[in-house]
Amino acid sequence: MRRIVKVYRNLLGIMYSERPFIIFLTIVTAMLSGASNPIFVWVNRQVLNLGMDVAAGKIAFSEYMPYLVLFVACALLPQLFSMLLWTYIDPACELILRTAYKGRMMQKLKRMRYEHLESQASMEIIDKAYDRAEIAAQHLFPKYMCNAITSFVAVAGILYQFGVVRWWLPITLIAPFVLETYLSYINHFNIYEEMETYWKREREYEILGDMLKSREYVKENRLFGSSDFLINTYKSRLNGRNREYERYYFMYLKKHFTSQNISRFAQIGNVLLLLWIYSQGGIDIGQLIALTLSIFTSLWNSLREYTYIFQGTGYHIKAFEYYEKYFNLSEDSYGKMDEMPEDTSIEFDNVCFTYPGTDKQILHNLSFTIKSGEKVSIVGENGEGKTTMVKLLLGLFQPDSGQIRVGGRPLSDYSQSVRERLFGPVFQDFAKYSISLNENIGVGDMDKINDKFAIDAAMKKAKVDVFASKLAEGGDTLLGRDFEGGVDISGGQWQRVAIARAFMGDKPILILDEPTSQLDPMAESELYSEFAEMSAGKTAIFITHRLGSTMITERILVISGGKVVQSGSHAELMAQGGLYADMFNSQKQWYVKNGEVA
Amino acid sequence: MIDRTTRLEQNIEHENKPSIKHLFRLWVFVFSSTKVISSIYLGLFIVLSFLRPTLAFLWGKYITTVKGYTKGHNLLPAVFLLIGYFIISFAADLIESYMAANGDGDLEQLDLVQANRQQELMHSKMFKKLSRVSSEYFEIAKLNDKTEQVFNFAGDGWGGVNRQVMLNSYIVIAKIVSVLSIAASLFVFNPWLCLIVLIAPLPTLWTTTIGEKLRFKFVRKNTKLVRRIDYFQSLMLSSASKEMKTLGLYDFFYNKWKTHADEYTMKEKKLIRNQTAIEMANSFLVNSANVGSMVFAITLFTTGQLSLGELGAAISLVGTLMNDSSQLLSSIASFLSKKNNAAQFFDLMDLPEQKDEGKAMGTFDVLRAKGLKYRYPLTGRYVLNGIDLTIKKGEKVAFVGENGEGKTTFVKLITGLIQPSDGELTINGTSAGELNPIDRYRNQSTVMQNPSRYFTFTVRDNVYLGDTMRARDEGAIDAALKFAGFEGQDGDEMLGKDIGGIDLSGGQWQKLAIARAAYRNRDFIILDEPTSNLDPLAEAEVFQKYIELAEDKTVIFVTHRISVAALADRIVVFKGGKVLQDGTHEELIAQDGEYSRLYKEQAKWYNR
Repeated sequence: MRRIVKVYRNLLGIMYSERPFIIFLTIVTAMLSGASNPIFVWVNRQVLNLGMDVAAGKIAFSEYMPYLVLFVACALLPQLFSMLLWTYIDPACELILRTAYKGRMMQKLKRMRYEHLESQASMEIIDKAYDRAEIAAQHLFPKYMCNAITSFVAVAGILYQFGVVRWWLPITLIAPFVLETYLSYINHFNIYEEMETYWKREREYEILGDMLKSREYVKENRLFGSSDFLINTYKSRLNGRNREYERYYFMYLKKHFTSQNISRFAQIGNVLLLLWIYSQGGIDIGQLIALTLSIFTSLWNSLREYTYIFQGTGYHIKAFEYYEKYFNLSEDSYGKMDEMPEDTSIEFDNVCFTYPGTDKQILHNLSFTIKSGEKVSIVGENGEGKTTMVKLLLGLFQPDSGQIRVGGRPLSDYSQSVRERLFGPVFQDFAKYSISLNENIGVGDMDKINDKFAIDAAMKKAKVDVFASKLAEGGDTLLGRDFEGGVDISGGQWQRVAIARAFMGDKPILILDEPTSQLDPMAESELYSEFAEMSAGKTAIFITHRLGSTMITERILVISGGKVVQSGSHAELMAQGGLYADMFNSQKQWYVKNGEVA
Repeated sequence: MIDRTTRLEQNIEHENKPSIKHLFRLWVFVFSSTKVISSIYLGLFIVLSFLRPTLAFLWGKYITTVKGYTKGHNLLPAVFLLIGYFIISFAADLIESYMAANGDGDLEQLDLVQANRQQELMHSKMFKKLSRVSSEYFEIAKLNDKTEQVFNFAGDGWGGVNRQVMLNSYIVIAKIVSVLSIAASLFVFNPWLCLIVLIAPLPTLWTTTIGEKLRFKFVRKNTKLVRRIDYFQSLMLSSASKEMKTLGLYDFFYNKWKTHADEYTMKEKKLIRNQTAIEMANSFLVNSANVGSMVFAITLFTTGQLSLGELGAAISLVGTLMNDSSQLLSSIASFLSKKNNAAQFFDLMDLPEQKDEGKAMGTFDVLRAKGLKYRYPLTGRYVLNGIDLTIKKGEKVAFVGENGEGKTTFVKLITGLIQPSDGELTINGTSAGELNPIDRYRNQSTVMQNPSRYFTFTVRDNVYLGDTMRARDEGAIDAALKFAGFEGQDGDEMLGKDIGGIDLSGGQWQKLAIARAAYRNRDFIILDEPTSNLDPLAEAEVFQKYIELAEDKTVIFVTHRISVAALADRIVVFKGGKVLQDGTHEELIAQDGEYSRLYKEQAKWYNR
């Protein structure tokens, strides 16, 4: 109950701040349309009784007229009220809530720690919050609230008329409903709990479904003849979910059936009671018809509305729990140090790291220092933690133990604005934004997003200008295939855009994570040659598989098993022998075929 | 430009005109996909349409009976009527609430069962279609748009056009039955009453059509806007958020999202206003007619033309009829309004398929290209502009050249994913167009440039996907993983972090793709830059293994790394969509042309 109050306070708070009038309108409409129900019961009785009198010639038709008018009003008004409610108020609320909720949720992303996006537990919360909070809000307001008010007014008014006949009639009418509502609340809660557990299954077939319609996958499936197998897998995953649902549904249906029978049988009991009272002369024929009808229609519907509300509330309040949990996901913390450090040395001090929710330690006591202005290559085999190390350095993940220092201070001491200006990263899976080319590069430094001059300079440095000039609208060309009119550029060209992005804003620390994996050899070679110029005066980390590139850096760190195993210049490491020399020679040997070296 | 590609372009550009024909095709399509459940549904709807009028009669009968009751007489007939009434209304309510006949079901409804099953069967059919469409269409961005569009409105269980079309058609059929039967019975009471009630809802047909049209237009006009809104939302939740976090880009993208979302909201507000006006007017009209006919019935009653029982039955019938006929009309209108979607649906579903027929390729012997040209559909430039090349069984050939010179395109032609625009390509002497395309796929092992990452499957499943036609061979999977040098992860680990599995590094994924091709184990092997993400040791090992493969295996590999190419028996240099050089490493170095230029450019980094 406390939860319900809290949720409604939250909801109404949003509505009140956006459009207070809507709340007022909702309540008034709901009350009026509720009130028309008992009035109609009364009017029905009068219309029937007096109508017979008119037919018998006991009263004049003119005397009868006011009742007919009332009849018309009572029959028409509720319809109009509900029209107003569902075609105006409901969609209007939907719009307000959609903007307000989504807006708040999206703003949370800014503060939320990145690591949640890589954790299943958090993703489930995020997914459900995004999927359901909005719909839940819509159900809770105006639907449930409105129905609750309408039904309350209607039930009270109708029960009053029964109470007039016999004081105990309201009790025989209401008691079975209370029991039924209680039972179905419990049952429903269970089915929703059950459905909560489908999330992983649903993700599994959704992800597979996305593959089955993505063209790269479709092509490969075709080549390997695996389409049918995959489609069958999709089908059986979906079928598994469906069967599970049906099994549970039909099991629950039996329970539901029993509980619904309680009020149903009470219904037949009550109308028979009325018939008996009538036969004893306790009520007139008009009353009998009007009241019997109301037991089958308006009273029944209004009371059942409560059953529905209680059934659904559990589910929707639950959705709000995800919404709340989402907002409670841990957020980034930043320090107070608001000045850019002069010295941009980087120090990893006994850093250990395990991805949250996994048990394999990726970094074991990783320690190294990179001096301010130094250019360092980091090499190592696949899956040894190079990219993880970058994520830690950028503050996307927190070390389990140990410390990362920049300019001699712990990374966490720096303020958000410093952190955002410190690094120029090029990720292995860099982002390809479907926005204009200029913006794609400009986002590297938000202060200069409109600074054409700076963007042009970055383009030039990364050799983006070479193909940019060939695009129809130059820098204003929309990139990517997501939207109509967007131009898709090649993987290598995207990589150059990502590199240009890293040059924006003159960030003191450059981090390049395999920046040439999609470049052809000539382009790669060019980038190496330009590296010195690009990184002049900066601290630079160059992660690579292609060992030729180690020539462009002063020092090489070899990472293996989550540790630095070797460190030194190319010559030193070659002299040492070991992993680096092995790797280098294995690549070099191909260029030293038959003794000829180019 | 008129060439073989032109026909393809015409097919993909073709758009069906919205018509009833496609709507009925869609209906048949969905019905035949979900025969059992659809029949049950339709049956229940028809039963329901008889129950309501029956109730009205029982009610009238009951009133007459109690009216005629005088104290001390037998109450039993009234009791039985009441119980009969109760049982039928119970049944009707149950059917109605479980089927969500009004279209607004909730989770607990039986309708979800139907919706789920429809989703299962429709999606499978749609995916099947995609897996059969001629693969060349996948080179065209427009196919993406079509697919995206169709999957947006069709296939989904709850919100899909399939469910709407079916539900509306059930309602139409059921309501025709009930409207006719009720109208006939009302006619018995009073012909005028019947007429008023039948005519009154006609405006519904018009208002619903207008309303649906407004909505359709709105959706069509704003699809792009919605796509942008969705794009920015999902972008902020994607792996791009790494970058957003480090560079502080959230506000920038949030504002982009907000601008578009607000714009959409403004437009939708206007739509709602218009729809409200129409609906209100319609509802007012229909309800007035409804109430009017009740008042008419009451007047008849006061003049003694209807008895009290008849009045009760008549009012009840009027209400049911009014309700049913407006539902009938609005369902007809919304059924018809889906013809646009139906046309779009068949734009995709009618695309020509790649059939498992034609001349079998057999084991690979020789491939010949002569004056081979290719341009991507809907583009005007020949990416391949006259390739002349012969590859024989057992050769290990490397394709080199800079980006965009046509290597990958040529590889796609060899695999059969695309067909020549012009010129000649023969395999074992048969021209590519006459070969059975599926058979070509069956005879080769491939590693694509961007290999698929089959999330939600285990590492070993990913390998098994290389050949699902033969029984799963765990030993061969082990051997394939070993061949690719895949290590560091347990083979039974589920892949995909967001479902609680693990993710692999780029290099590990690539090794997995190599293992997949190795598991497939065919004699004709095509590798398109299979090692771009591998570390040097792994790369050397992989290539050495391919070169050392048995004599009867033909290997074609595309690479950027000249050092790797040097391992091949033969090197083909692509430039400007043509073959520029062709020979062994030593020969090409000696020629001192493009090849040696590329070689030197890369070797200099190792020259120390």
